[in-house]
Amino acid sequence: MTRLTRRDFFTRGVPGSVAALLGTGAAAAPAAAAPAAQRSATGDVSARDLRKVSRTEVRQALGRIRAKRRAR
Amino acid sequence: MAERPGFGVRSLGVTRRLVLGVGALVGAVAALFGGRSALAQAEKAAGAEAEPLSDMLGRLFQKHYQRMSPDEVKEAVGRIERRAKRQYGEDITVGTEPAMEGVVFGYALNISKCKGVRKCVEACVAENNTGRDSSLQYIRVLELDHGDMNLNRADHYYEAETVPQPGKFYLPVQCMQCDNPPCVKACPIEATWQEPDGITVVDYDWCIGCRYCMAACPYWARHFNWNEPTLPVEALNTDTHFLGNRPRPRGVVEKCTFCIQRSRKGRQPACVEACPTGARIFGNLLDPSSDIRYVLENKTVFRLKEELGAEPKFWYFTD
Repeated sequence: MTRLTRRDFFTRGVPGSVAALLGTGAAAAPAAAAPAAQRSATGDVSARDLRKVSRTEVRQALGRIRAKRRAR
Repeated sequence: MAERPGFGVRSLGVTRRLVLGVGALVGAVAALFGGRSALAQAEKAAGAEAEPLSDMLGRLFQKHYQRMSPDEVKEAVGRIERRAKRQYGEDITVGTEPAMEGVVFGYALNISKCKGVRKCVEACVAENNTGRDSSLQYIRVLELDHGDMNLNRADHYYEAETVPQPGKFYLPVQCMQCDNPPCVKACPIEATWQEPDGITVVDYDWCIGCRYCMAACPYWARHFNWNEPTLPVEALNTDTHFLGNRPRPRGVVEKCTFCIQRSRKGRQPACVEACPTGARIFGNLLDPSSDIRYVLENKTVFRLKEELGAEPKFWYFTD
């Protein structure tokens, strides 16, 4: 059975904690599964810290900045 | 038992209140002068004159910068200038230039040109009156292996004399002046805010040094001032701005302001001028003919930690 700490109750939520207590914690840990999916092959999210931005995204970002100034 | 005249229950109550009142008054005056003399001793120890009581009280009751009337701003500026004169023996000018109409500042940095010589860091420290005895620097230049974008493996203590190293590239990181700044949201007392020209500033007299903004900033762009900044008189930059490079007290969080004292007068930030390779481009994002707009529209552009949604106005690009 998975050894649970107090932190697990906060990070796994009630269903995850109950499942872990019953011995199926690894399978039912929704909160822990989400960041794992984002991890790269090196096991680190920051591997994609510097992201290429397309022309459209640049135009959208500038549009948002312009719109925010107009709204003031 | 007969009451002695003048010491009845009623008169005792009055006497008690009188004694308490006098005691409180004496206590308050003693605390005020005690605090003042402690401050004066500290300043004398640092080789400066004592601060006049009027300035000390003015500083104590100074309002938030955004809520000051023009007269109050003038008084606050006078206090800072007098304090600098006492501390350094130099006349400094504290500007309060507001944001220019129709301007939002943006920054772009050419990663293929940056060689990691850290001239930008030196210029930044000199321009912004940063304490020389601390390691507080607004720009952090990271050395990374080619093809590696993992900032956790970056080294910012590399030897600047032996750059560029083969197989390495350099990534300077500083305040991104985010359009959706997490640091501003984290401040519990609104001591930091975004100006209309997009620069995030700090009222250094209002900051309580809680460092929540440092925890909120994903770019390590805020720096806590642990010590009273020591600055050689000859190194003092006398051209300052209230929200920028004026001499700061100990115990506040500092940050890059795109050299607000320069940029609001139409000049380039010190790091842009100092870069020997011309890797840094600064300008008005709302001006379609500006250099920065040309870069953003024609080059391969990158953003750091873009997925966090802070909308950094600092872009990286390659040739």
